[in-house]
Amino acid sequence: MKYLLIFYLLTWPAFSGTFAQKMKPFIDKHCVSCHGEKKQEGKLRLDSLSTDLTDLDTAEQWQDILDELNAAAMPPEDEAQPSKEHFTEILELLTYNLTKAKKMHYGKKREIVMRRLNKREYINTMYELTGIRLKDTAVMGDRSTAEFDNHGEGLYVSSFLLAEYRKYAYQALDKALSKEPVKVFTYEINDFAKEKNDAVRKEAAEIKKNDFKSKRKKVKHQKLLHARLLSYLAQPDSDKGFLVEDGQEAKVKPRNGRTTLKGVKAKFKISVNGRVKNLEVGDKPYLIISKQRYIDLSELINNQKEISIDVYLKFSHTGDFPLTFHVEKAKKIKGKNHKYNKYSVEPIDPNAPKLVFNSVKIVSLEKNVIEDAFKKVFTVSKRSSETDAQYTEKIIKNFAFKAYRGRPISDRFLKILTDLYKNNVSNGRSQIDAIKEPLAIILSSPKFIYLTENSTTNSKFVSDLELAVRLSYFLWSSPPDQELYNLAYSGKLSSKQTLRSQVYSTIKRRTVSCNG
Amino acid sequence: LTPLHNNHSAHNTLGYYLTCVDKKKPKGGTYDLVSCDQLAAEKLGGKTRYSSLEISGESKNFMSRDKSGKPIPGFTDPLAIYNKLFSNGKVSLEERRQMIRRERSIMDAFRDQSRSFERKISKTDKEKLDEYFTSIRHIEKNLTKAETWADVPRPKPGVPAPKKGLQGTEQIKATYDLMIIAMQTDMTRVISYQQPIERIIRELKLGSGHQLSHSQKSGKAATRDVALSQLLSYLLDKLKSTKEYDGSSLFDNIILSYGSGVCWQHSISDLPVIVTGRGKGKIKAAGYVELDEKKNRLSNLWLTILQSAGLEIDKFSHSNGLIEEIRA
Repeated sequence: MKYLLIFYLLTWPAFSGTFAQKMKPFIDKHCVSCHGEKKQEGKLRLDSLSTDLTDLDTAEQWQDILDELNAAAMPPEDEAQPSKEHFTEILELLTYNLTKAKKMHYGKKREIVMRRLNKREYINTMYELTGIRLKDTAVMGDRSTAEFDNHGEGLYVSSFLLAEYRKYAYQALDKALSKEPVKVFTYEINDFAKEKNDAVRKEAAEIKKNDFKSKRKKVKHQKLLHARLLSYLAQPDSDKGFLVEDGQEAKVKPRNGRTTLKGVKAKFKISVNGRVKNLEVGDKPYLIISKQRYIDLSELINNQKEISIDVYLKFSHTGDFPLTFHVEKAKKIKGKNHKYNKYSVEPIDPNAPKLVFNSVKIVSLEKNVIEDAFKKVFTVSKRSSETDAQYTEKIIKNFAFKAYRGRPISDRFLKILTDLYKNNVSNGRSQIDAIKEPLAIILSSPKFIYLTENSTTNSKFVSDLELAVRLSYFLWSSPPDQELYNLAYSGKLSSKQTLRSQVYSTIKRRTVSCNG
Repeated sequence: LTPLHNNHSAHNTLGYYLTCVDKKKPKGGTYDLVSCDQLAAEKLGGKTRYSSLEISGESKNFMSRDKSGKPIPGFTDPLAIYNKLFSNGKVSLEERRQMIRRERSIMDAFRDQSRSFERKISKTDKEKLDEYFTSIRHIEKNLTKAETWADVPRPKPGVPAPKKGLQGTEQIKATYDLMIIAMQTDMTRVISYQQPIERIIRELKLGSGHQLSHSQKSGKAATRDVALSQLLSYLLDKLKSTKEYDGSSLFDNIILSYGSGVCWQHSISDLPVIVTGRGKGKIKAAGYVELDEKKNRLSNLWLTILQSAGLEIDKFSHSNGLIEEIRA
């Protein structure tokens, strides 16, 4: 965040405020002699050109100028040329401002265009339908043409992409309908005390071996560091767990054989075993996992225990998993702020609040994901009175209804799909295997890929169902949930009151799992 | 060389590199929307299993454009290219034929389905839908091709499949290798490849490509250029050492154009381009060629290459002549 801020501070005044001030002299010096009041070569007059880029015509004229400059067509070779530095500055200034203006002008005065799902919506929608979240890197990216990634004009469809959709669908369905045991990711630090103490001893021994000399640090500093390490080991309870201070991070890098969690987004069960000590009355201890979620450690105050929570987590690209101990003080201490800082050598206070961190366990819940996924496709179980074909037809029909966001599948298309299924079965494929193809076809068909609205052509109102879809994709980039559908079917959603209350209640109902 | 296109996006200079299209005059015939490789594919692709191969090191950006000017995406991972070219999926001929027939009926069904909402939607949406129908038609065209090629066994690549998810230098080398095999086995005759430059720049620890283009110092850019040139020479050496059935080398029979969409900063004038390969005697080495200002157009190069490759055209985009210096 720091870098971003600095960047803006530097560029903002340089670009925005002075556009007119910097462009005018350049134009006057290099352009006006041929494109001015007296002479207008190519019927172009630049001395009176406005610098207000919020006006579309003006912005387009400036774009022409930029094109000419970029192509080095102007100023003509026999005229005086600007210095390279000045030219660079002008080009950057113009490019920056026009990019900004372009984004502003995009999509103005246009009607809503039918468009395909963008990448984020597609991944979320696939998740809702199959229970499988496709990897971000595995799905082809969109080319953004505007500031919004749901800008219809930029969301192209090509034969390549259509084929990819089918592949992605197979990937998800293969996983969702697999009967094979799923690899469960488990990572565990059983004895945090030993791990930490060993590391501390090793570090201390290393310092001593080098006779307190280090390339980066002074002898005095090294001696202090050494003393600190020893005092860590001398603390009470240092044999019972990793003693984490308030604000300190316990760094964990989960790894299971060759598998790491780099960039993984998934549900996890996190179990933490430990005890919190030296708190004052009213202090509240927390463990911040991966800088994303707070676990309340109140139960662990002076009481060793294991607590677990299920969370949806996003791992960084390094796969690091920092666990930060944080104490919310009842009484704020004014003045001195005792913060743990890894660069300074502060003596350890054995009486400060501490988390005696015993063990930690991280388990991915993919197994449950698969069970959920199976249920998402096979929404109902087979009745004994039904034939296999009847049952399959029902499953396909239900799946299409969901995939088509509350619109039914046509009888003709349904017949094609059920025929495909029957054909697959008669070719000796298993029923589960045979149904994948019709489902994958649904997931690459136009009614699924495109967000279309029928009613906007002739009236300015959308239907209740379309409203539900709009609302849901606008807020979560994913399809409506059952409650929203039910409201839409009953025709209640379009009333102003329901709509307003729905916006709030759905936000509450659906937690922020649709990130991406 | 200077393409006459507008700088549509300051950072996507390659987007219109192969078309030289002028955004403001897209219609009226003079300015082509289609990229030169696709034009070549139409003519040269008739006799091969795939009319063209589109590759980009970064999965977002593709240079090739279809007839309506829409980008044509393609492969990123070398393994995907390998599978597309050489893997048959272990099915019998009859099964493959059946699969093709089935795919046709699915495409028909998709078309039906989109027609059902075509009747109800507005004009702008119809344009969007046209894009979809074009894609479907393209798939069907490929199916027809697959049908004719169904009983022709695929050639053996003679090399093991590349590893999945190669990046940077490794990715480029593996892609070069596959390009050569694809040409040697005559799977395709037209290939466009946008190299993952950003990745290379990161590998060389030179910051980002954007910084590099804007930097006034040229030392870092030189480091990048040396690295890329070494890769190019790897490709050229391989092209020269790969023999065709008649004893000539691949190098004798191809035309390779290698270049960049940006000169410095956002400037799209005076782009450096290397043209090599003998093009079956149609192209000759001419050393460093500086073109006359009036004929200094990228579209002239594309026209020259297309003509040398046997296309009977006398104009491409805003071309105003051939580059005689490189014509043999």
